Amino acid sequence: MIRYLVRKEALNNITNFRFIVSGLIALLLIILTTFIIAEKYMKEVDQYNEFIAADQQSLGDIKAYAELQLNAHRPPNPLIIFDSGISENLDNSVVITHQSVPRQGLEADAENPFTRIFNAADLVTIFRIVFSLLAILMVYDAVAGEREEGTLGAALANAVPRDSLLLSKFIAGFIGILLAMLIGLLVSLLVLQLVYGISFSSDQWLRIIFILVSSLLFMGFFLALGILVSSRVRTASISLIWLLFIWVFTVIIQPNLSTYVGSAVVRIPSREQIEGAIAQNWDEYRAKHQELEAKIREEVPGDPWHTDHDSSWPFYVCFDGNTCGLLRYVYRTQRIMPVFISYAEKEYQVYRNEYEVYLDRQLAVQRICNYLSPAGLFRRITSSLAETDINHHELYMDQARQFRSTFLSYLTNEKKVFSENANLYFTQRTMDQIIHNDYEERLAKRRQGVETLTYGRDSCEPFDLSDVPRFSYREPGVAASLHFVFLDLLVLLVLTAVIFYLSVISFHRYDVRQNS
Amino acid sequence: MLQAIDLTKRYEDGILALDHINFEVKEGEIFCMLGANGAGKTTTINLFLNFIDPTDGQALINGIDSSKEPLEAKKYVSYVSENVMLYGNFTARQNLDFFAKLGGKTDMTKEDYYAVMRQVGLQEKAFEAKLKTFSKGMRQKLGISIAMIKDAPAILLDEPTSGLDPKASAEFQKILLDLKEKGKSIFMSTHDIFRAKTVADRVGIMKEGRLVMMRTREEFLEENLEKLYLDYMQEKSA
Ligand SMILES: Nc1ncnc2c1ncn2[C@@H]1O[C@H](COP(=O)(O)OP(=O)(O)O)[C@@H](O)[C@H]1O
Ligand SMILES: [Mg+2]
Repeated sequence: MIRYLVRKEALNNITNFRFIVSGLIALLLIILTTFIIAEKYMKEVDQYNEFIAADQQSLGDIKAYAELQLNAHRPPNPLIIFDSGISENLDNSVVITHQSVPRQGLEADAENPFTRIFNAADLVTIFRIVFSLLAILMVYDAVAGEREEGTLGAALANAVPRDSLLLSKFIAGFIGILLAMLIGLLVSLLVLQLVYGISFSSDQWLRIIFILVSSLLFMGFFLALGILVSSRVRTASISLIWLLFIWVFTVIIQPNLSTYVGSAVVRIPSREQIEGAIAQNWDEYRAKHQELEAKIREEVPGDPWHTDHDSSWPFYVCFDGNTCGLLRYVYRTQRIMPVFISYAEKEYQVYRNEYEVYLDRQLAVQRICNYLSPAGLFRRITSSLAETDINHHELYMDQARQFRSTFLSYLTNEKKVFSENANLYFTQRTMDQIIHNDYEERLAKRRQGVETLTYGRDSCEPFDLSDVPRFSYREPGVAASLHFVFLDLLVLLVLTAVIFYLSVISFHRYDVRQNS
Repeated sequence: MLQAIDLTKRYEDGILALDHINFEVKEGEIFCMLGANGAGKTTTINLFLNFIDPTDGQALINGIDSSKEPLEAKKYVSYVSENVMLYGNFTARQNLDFFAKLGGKTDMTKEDYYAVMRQVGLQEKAFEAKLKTFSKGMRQKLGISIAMIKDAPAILLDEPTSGLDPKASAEFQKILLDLKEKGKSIFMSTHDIFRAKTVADRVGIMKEGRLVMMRTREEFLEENLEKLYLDYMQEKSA
């Protein structure tokens, strides 16, 4: 029975002008969007390759460890074509240095950079906005419309179970949407492949499939909703009005509402407050620094005047003056630098406690509100699958922070830059040369007109940094991404099922007569 | 085959549309229900189709209570409504095909459909035309052919000839007798006393929800049915 009912619904949809037109419009939008985002992605790829090349080049010219800083780049993600998520708001490159801990920069107005108010034009946005409307168009007249037409009574004069009739409308709508989506997706993938040569890894293919599946689930929600509403009212036009009203609320207002509720419930401290707390950290450091510096001056007395040197910090590789200044640098590197590093790490803790914790709380509130918002759930699910959401950004930042630890350990433990080899932090002169005060000797030579400046940056060999750790982003894998949004998927599924169930109940009580 | 036992319907707004109606339509019998607009004819049919639930009593099709086992009961009945409405985007044949399948006839061929459409007097060129181009009379004919295709033992006809021209009406009469010949039980509501007189085996007159008169063919042929009908109608105003 279902088979015939579905076939009839499908035939009805195919012969329906409004689906053909709206389907074509949707397809056009998809193609357009694909081109726009693919261009953007290609630019990102170029930029990424430039970054990597520049990093490689700069590594070949490090002559003091103070010069050494690395970058952690997150490779461009072609899945932004499906869901750009919050990728627009965030950096995909962070500097890795022992002097600071990577973190999301403080936004100008201390707003939450992890929330999305505006939607980038990506395929999922088209699904969410255009295809959900298409779904509504397919079913808004499912029950009420057929009653008005008089065909509902004609069909139900037969031994047709009402559930089957409803289910067939759902299935036919689903098939219609599936076809439209598949065609759109296929065209988009062809454009990516043929025009841009963008290809996907097997993990990414899985992600695309899951994005499609969750998009269908979201469409299922609207199909069920459309059927429910149309089995609650008497005419198709009233059904359509209700559905458009609900659509605007669900798709446009509600997701932003949960964002709004999040920021209303959890206030993020002002920029001044956060910066104040950070400044306090550095005030503390300054006091420690002065204490340590005084001790060093006590230990290494003298007047560190120098006649000449090669550019500025950290390139004190030639030093044509009193070496007591150099020795002080060694001690600073050994004693003050580790303190500085610990304060840099403290700064990150302050930042976490004063800012990120609030962001997290805000996001948690948003997530809870989101459970009532199908469009919000859908957005969370797909951006997780596309790895463009906050969780994946955090994964990347975590990896960057981990990498900084590795790098720090490389400097500290392997190269002993803050202990035995402290000289290498700023010069390639050996400790012997630094400790030996040959100032008088040189001064005499200089008076004779002999050039004494023998040791410049240019005369040093670059370090061999083949053993320096390199950052490479570890993809979390689709299972991990699904894990983040498992509950969201479940809730969306349950919401859809509940609404469909309600529509079945409603239809069982429905008066199918045309004239009543 | 079709049986109403104390069938009663009071609508939500309090109107008593049917008041303890009793009748039976046996195999090979045509029962014509006469009555003015609002008498309760359509309500009776809707009760058999379980479009509405009875307030009291039973509507049985092949002995099955249609409010208790509607799906089972509806297997044994075909229905032509007062104003046949079908899918406007589909052709006559597509509509016929769909309803045939709903009626459980899944092995019909295009030829079968054409044959039955010819039988009800639909023009050839309408067979593959979209329903939205059809006149009321054409839709009515297609509605009848849908009922014929289903080939159920009982047939409910709600003023089936409204909108048919005299020629089509005459053709329809032939079809009715044909169906009766095949042993179908036919319940037909109508205003058309002339038609009722020619085909009915039994006639009922309904008034304000009550079955005020019932006559067998022998009985009403002896009496003056037109006069009886008019008398009952006038009694109302009296
Ligand atoms: N859905 C309804 N709600 C309330 N009253 C109704 C409804 N349908 C029919 N009626 C009333 O029931 C009575 C019988 O109507 P109906 O069975 O349609 O008459 P007929 O088919 O003989 O013209 C009328 O008074 C009509 O107004
Ligand atoms: Mg009527």
